[in-house]
Amino acid sequence: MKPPLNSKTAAQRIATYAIVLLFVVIFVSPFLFMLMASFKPNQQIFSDLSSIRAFLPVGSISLQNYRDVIGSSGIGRFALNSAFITIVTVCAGLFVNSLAAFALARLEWRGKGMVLGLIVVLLIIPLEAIAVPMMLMVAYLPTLGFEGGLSIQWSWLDTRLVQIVPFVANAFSIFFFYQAFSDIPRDFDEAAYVDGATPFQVYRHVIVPLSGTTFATVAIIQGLAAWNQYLWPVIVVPSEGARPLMVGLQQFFRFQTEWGEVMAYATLATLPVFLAFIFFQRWFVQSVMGSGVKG
Amino acid sequence: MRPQWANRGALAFLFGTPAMLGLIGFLVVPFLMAIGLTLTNQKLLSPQDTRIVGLSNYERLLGLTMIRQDSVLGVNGDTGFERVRDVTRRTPRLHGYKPLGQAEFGSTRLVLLARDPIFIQSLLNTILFAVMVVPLQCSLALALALLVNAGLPGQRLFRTVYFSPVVMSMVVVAVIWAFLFNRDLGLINQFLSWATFGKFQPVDWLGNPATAMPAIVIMSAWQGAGLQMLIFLAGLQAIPKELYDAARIDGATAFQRFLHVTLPGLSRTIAFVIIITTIAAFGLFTQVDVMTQGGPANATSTVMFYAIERGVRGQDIAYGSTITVVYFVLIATLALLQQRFFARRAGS
Amino acid sequence: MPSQVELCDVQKGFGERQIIKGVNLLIQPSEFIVLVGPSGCGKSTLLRMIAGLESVDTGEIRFDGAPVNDRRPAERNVGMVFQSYALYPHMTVEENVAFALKIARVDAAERRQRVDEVLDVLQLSALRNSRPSQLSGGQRQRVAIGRSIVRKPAVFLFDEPLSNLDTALRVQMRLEISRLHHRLRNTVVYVTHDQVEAMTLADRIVVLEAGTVQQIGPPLELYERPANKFVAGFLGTPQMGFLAAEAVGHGADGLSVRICASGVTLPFRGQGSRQGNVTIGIRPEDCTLCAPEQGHLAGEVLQVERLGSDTFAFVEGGGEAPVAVRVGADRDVPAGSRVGVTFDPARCHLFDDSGVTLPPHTA
Repeated sequence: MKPPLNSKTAAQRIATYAIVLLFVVIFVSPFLFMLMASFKPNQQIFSDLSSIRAFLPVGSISLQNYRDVIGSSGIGRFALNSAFITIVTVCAGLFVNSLAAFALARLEWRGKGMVLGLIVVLLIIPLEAIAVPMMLMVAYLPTLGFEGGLSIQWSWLDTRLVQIVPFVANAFSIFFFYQAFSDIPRDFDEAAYVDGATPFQVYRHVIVPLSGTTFATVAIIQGLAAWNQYLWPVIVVPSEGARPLMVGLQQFFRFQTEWGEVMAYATLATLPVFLAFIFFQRWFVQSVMGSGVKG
Repeated sequence: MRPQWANRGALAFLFGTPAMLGLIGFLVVPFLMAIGLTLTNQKLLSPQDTRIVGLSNYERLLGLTMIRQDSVLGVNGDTGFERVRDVTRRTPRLHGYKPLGQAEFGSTRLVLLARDPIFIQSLLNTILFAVMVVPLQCSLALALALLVNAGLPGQRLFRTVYFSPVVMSMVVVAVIWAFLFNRDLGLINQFLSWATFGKFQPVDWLGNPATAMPAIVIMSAWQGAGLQMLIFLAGLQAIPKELYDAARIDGATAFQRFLHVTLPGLSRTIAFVIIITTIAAFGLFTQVDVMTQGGPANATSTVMFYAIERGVRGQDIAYGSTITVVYFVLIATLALLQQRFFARRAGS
Repeated sequence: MPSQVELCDVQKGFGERQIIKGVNLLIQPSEFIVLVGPSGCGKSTLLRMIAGLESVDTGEIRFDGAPVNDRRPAERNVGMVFQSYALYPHMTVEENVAFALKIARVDAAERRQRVDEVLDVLQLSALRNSRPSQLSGGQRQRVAIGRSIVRKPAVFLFDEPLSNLDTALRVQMRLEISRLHHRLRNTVVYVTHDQVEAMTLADRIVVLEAGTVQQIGPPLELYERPANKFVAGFLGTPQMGFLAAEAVGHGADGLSVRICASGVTLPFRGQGSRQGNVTIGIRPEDCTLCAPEQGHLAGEVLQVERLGSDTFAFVEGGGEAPVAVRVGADRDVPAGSRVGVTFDPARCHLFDDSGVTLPPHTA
């Protein structure tokens, strides 16, 4: 994989390092610009642009942009919506998809191969290809309302529900769980069955605890998709009540000329993902490296 | 064969049902609906009843024809061509067609007509985007993977940095880059002007039809390359070290090792990466929606953007579905063709 | 209570391939039975059928007279030790041992007491909070045993439990398992491909080959009176030597048999007035080396194995494999030298053309 270092000359190493660092600058600077601009007043963002100052916390630095954004833009509600949608989607998704994968990987039943085949086929249908008819469909689905007593409303549009339910079951997650579960030695199940465990107990006490990494990976992939969701809410959530953060940012960006505030908004929208990325970096990386090459 | 008690049909059904309901309800059914709706004139809110209209949506979407015109003498003595609109209005066969492009050869000209020129243009834009972004993004990703894999101290940190845009929302990335691309104040123009000692004329990247799509290409490659980089890294690490040692003993140079060990070892990964990048490229939507709204002059309108534009914002469900079905057929064909191509290459 | 286990004409196939071709076996309560045979002979499948992890195609398995074919593993009251141990890596030693009781909803106090008892018996108390990954191979083995005995199963199943251990540990664990059996008096069915394990542990050995029982009996009986060439060759190290021979007549002492390679004719105690091809089998300890011209057999010494207590010389005797001869530990036999081999025909085994032992002549 990596050749011994002494096989390269010092000049080669320095040259490689220079290229590596150049790319680091290219990849970091936009984010750095966003972060720095979010602390600066509009005038200063413009005047700093022509120099390195654009990437430095210099001049008049304050949290004023953040105060303004949080005070006026409805970002709090949008963030809560996004958090709620992400958490519910991930929790429900982990349970539903892993249980289905357990049935596929660890239980014996007729028609298993067919169902597995169907799931693989469904992997290739992107959301984009079905978004329009799905909008028509969810516009006529029933939902329970609680305004002025229990009532049934015949539309899922403009709800948080519509941003959660379609994304809980996920062909990719099932397939990913299926592969991971299939790699666990059969002896574990059999030992548990000899000890009197039911299949659900095998799932609960053996398979799930043994698959921590897999659960983390799927949680990250599904959670990231839910948090960063854009196309679907643009279609089905036209008004503000159930609007998620990314649509909020896009709207704010379109109708706002204060760059500092837009950058503060973007920073806030990125912060949770960024923190999660820093803390769970290993799993983020594994999630891609593990899922990629098998395909 | 397992014992009778291990046949868990009922239980498997119970465990699998929630997931299968979700997949069928929100993937299979909408997909079948999409196909069905294209044969109707369904609108989201419409006083009219929904009718079956056969393949007319497809005709409307894909209708393409060409006319040849000879120049005529104008009223004030100069030669010119009859207005296309007058021709289409006069000819029943050309009813509803609008000009898409034209070419003049002396006293004749050819005019390309489309029923929906914006869709054709969106389709061409999408292809253009894919043709530009796939090579750029894949080679950038491979370069990054090789750099990260070069065994320099701190490589994990570099890997993290290169991967970080992938986890960020495309909306956030698009917003930042919209600022970077700004004509008067954007950092990119500032940098180019500084680097050329002021000779560079500022470009309105997103406001100019010629540069808007390349700008989106650059930004998309920047955002997405980290993902493919990781896939390449996994592929690189799967190549047995012994092959490099053997090549080294045989006296191969670094470049020869790359050519004869790394590239062949990565062939499956490369194929996989190109396929997923192409499919993702054809779904281009968010960047356009946030940065340019399809403009200027429809130069960045894409198939997906146009589908949402017509199907959702224009509430023409049937027409929007038709676009998405065409889109699906397109990417399915592409994926199949690429897979065939790479399978044959790998086989020979 | 230890159970009696009975297999009645048990058969099983995977697709076209017949794995178990009709096995009959009666295992008495508290008996230690070892299923032994080369890999692929069906011994593990048979064990898994007793456990309920594999189905039975035809025939019946009975525990204390009651058919259990349709019972789930948990309902058969068996304990099983897997080759891989199958210890749950996410649980401590204590949790691993307690798992079955937890599943069975045994109350906490009793659970605690029974787990303590088991850990104590297996000398694992000090390791109760360790995880399997922190244990040595022998300790893991003991945890696996502990996990299966905590439920006090009526039948105890071992699937090649020692095959992942090094030699020294294997000897030690063999003793421990044996001691445990003396203490608990469970019915044990133990699968192994290692004939030393079989010889040392078993009350009775069942030799399996290609899905059929070759012979059932106490270890020494199998060693001394193998029913056929396969059993004779399978038990004992080095392997019994085989010589191609021809029955040429019948005398008062038994058959006159001529060894093909050397042309020497000897009287054997084989029965019957047979003519035709037979095979002579001789154990290494029944042979002695002599001068080439004095031997029943002469040949080159291909290899000498010195084990310290014993030395074995492998002599090319014209048979399918070299004949092993046990020589005194201090005796120096140079490889490559030409030697003769003599043996007492009365100690030899005689097999007919199909490999079946010719019963000894009763005078």
